[in-house]
Amino acid sequence: MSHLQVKKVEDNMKFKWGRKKGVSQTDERIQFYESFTYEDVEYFVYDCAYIYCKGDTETSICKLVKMFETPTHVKRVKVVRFRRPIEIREILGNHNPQWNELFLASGQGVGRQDYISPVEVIVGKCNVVCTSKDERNPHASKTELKWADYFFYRTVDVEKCVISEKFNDEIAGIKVEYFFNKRKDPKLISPSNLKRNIKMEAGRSVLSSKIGLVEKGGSAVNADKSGNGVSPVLLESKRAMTSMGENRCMSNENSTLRLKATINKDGTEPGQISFRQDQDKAKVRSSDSLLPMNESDTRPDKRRKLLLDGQKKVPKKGEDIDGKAGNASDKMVPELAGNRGAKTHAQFLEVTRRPDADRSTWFKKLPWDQRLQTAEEMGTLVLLDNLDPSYTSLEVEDLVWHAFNRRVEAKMIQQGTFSHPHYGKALVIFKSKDAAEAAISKLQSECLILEDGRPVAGCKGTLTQQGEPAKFFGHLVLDVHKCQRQCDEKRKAVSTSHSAQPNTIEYDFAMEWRCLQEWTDICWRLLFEAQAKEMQELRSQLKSTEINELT
Amino acid sequence: MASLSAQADYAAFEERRKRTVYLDNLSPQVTEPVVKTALNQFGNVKSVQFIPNYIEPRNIPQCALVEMENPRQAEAVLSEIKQFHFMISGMPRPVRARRAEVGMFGDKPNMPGRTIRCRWLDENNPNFKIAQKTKALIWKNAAESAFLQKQVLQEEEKLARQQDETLKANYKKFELIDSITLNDKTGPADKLAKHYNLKIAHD
Repeated sequence: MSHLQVKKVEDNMKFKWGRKKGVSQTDERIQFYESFTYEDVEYFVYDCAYIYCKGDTETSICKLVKMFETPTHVKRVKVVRFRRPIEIREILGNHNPQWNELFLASGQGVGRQDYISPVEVIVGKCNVVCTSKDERNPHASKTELKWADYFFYRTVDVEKCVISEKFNDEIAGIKVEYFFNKRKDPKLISPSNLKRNIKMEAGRSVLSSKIGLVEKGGSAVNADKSGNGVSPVLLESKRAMTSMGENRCMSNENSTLRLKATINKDGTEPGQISFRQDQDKAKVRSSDSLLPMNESDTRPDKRRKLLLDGQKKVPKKGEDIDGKAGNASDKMVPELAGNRGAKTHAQFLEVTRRPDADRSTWFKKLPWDQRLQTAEEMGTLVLLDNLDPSYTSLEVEDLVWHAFNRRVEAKMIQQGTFSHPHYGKALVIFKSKDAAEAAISKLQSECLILEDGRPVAGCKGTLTQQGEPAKFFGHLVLDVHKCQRQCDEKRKAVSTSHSAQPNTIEYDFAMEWRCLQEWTDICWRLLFEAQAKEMQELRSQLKSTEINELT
Repeated sequence: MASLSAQADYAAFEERRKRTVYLDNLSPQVTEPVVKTALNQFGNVKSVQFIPNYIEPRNIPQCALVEMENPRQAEAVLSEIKQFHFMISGMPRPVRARRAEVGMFGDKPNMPGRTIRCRWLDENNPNFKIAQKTKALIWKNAAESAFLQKQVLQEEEKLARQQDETLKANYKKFELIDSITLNDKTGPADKLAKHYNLKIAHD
């Protein structure tokens, strides 16, 4: 792993150890800790986190199992890594993992060398839930699942390369219980405590459970279903409750409110509401601080819906634009080795006209500009890059239909002075936000390539801001005092055109502009040539194998 | 294969492309009638279509596709604009003209006979990695282009500012020269003439 030799001062400022846990049995100078705070996020032992090592293409997710400081004051965290399906694709075989599924590394040798220095590599917290049926594992509630970034229920033996649903008693020298979901604090659901809580908070809890209902739609905290008719809600702090009302609408936009619910066997459903801010910060950071290649980390936004197959959907902003969003996410669970991929495994898929593409439209559509604007606001706009510049808008629509099974509206971006001659771009409006996000994440984590070996890139579409009129340099007006006459002349001049006559100052200036234009032309040409060469180099590596496959 | 009508469509489009000229370095104030009147002196303008700017920065100059009556007129426009510094609604930045290219048209028809084929690359495919790298390269290239674009705009602004100063200085000079001979015969030139008993012809 990476070695931390030179510690930056500012890094140390952001880093703070939490409570001490003890010292090592072998070397008393090694100090273990229970938690540490880094960039305002507190990490506890057995938390999961995103880490990013230099040179990797993706972040990895791991469990922090030990935190300690060596005698030389080097901060170290021992981790056990989760494997993303893509990392173990060679041994996946018939397993068909969901995109947000992880595999816990197990077996011999795991974690032996896996020490990281938190200051260098930790990106943010990650919420991983274990859905294993193992009896040692406290079951995760639907709510927990809903909020999880990833889930796992299988292990992968890194040495024997076997995927299994069984968990050994120890992984990397740590009891397996610590890898399962954390046990709920037994005090919270003990009967005596429950009663007291009912008494104390009966009045309030009705209110708060109602809020909970509105808040969570069809999720676990449900006053009507519980035996008592009142579901005691334990509030970790009053703040959480008061902020709940405020946060109600905010929760749609990645709110800071997290709801945990524990289901009790006797029918009562005490819910526990905790207030966690770190989650979102971590999320934001994980997507911000990474290279563009890792943009797939913006995925966490979608994870909730994907897990909710059977469950009622939480109404989300921007989702029900056309009422179709509900089925959208059910239909399109992006699977890594999905069926489509399997079908088109060996050959190219021919893009034909999609069915009923020509169906007549009953309603007159808004102009394209306006539709673009609304699409951008709704988050349904996607920018496709690296298409063939000669593609037409219809062809792009068909392409999206074939690649994503989505009916969309697309328009190629007309090439202008600054457009790259080799990259065609297109703006695509999807029907729902989910569909757009799913498409973007699929384009980023997988590869859609066109016949000539071009991979299609995609990102969220952002339009040029409209507003104050654009500035334009190079048209000079003398502000002279003889305003009236000048204005008249100017008005006339605006609607006229002329060629500059030699031997005027205008001509000289125009010549300077021509020089600048030529200069910029050369700059652009050189840049484009250099870029084309780079691209060609990559493509030449591609070709040899590509041709073999085609024939 | 491609239907006859598609081929005819495409042929018609090619014809249209040949008689179309691409204009850039246009000020954002330029409107369709302005371009029309400006270029009507070289032939008959059939249509003017501004290329919308959806994703580029706001401050880039406008560009437009101008369809002339026939390719000959289009050629005439090209050579005129190239040869002379042609100004449309403002000076001294001249407009530029180029031949229109296929990618510039928003309403181009499908190329007859062409089928697009695509596939999702399997992760085990040896090309998967290369494709991922290519995607990274695309973003890099886009960043490079954006940088150059910014530089170009800055360069343009610099030139404009410089010219503005030169122009003002020149104007001042001319004002100064003008003020020597004032019409009411009180300027320095008249005073000097009086002093040396010379006569100046005021006309």
